[in-house]
Amino acid sequence: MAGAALGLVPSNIRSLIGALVALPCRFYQWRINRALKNYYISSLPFLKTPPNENPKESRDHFQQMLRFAQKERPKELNIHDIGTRLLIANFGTFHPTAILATNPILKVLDSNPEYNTISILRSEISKVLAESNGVWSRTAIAKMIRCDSVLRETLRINAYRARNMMRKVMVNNLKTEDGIVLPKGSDISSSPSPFKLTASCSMTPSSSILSAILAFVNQVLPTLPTSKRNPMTIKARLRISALFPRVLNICRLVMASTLVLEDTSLISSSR
Amino acid sequence: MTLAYTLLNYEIEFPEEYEGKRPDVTWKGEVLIPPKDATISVRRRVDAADDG
Repeated sequence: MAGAALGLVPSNIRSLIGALVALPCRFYQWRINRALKNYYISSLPFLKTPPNENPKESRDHFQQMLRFAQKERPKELNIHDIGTRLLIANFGTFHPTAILATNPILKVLDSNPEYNTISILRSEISKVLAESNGVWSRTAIAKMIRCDSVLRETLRINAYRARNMMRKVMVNNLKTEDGIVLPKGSDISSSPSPFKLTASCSMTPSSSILSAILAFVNQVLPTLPTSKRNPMTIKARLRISALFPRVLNICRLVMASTLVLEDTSLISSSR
Repeated sequence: MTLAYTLLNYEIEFPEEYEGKRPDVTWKGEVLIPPKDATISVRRRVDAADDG
């Protein structure tokens, strides 16, 4: 939300707006730091001994973060910085993992009546574990080929994000096979999800509607300043003073680019 | 490993009210969110090996 808000305001007041928008986040961080304080203080004495020397020292992620700060970033060994790091770590690891771990379970249950998935996977898991004497090792997990296939298939159908990594155009006047000119410096990315879901899907717009939209894109793109042509970053570069005269064309451009590059049947196909 | 451990040690199934169909996912912009209110029935397997 903060990113979206900042993208819509002039750059000279972004620091002020950003600080205001981030106030709830600061409040939650203060509460987390307060809850974390006792645990942080109780963990500090272990840092006086070498790692793994004291059997009472916790080996959790938090203690590893303290060890890293002690060794690499001594200035950040304080409750505020450690609390911030913990928040970032949680946001970056807990939520994606929870999301990615939920879909395979649902996928297995969904496919079980037709493919007997649970029984097949259990058979493989038991066999691999028996070979490794019941030890859950990385090598043993890697031998679970069918489990791996289920996870990959789940990621194919239920990927976390529909868009792949952004690429920057490094040459002048790069033209796609559909005739769209991509100015140098543009950031582009595609949405591969539709093509994973629909075998008959094609990048070439075949309907008259998509052809009309493509023609619109080709018509509008050259009329915009080079710095404003990129539909991915165009919203972030808006100024409030210029918002209303341009917003309609910009919305059209973003929508048209989306429809040309993406399969509009994505949502219904994935459900 | 989570998937393997769960399948090996627990019986899981959809609640009866789902009628065998998985709950829909939600798209928020470009991000796919699993159904937040989805539930599954979980029961520890009696014959599960004690693997940890």
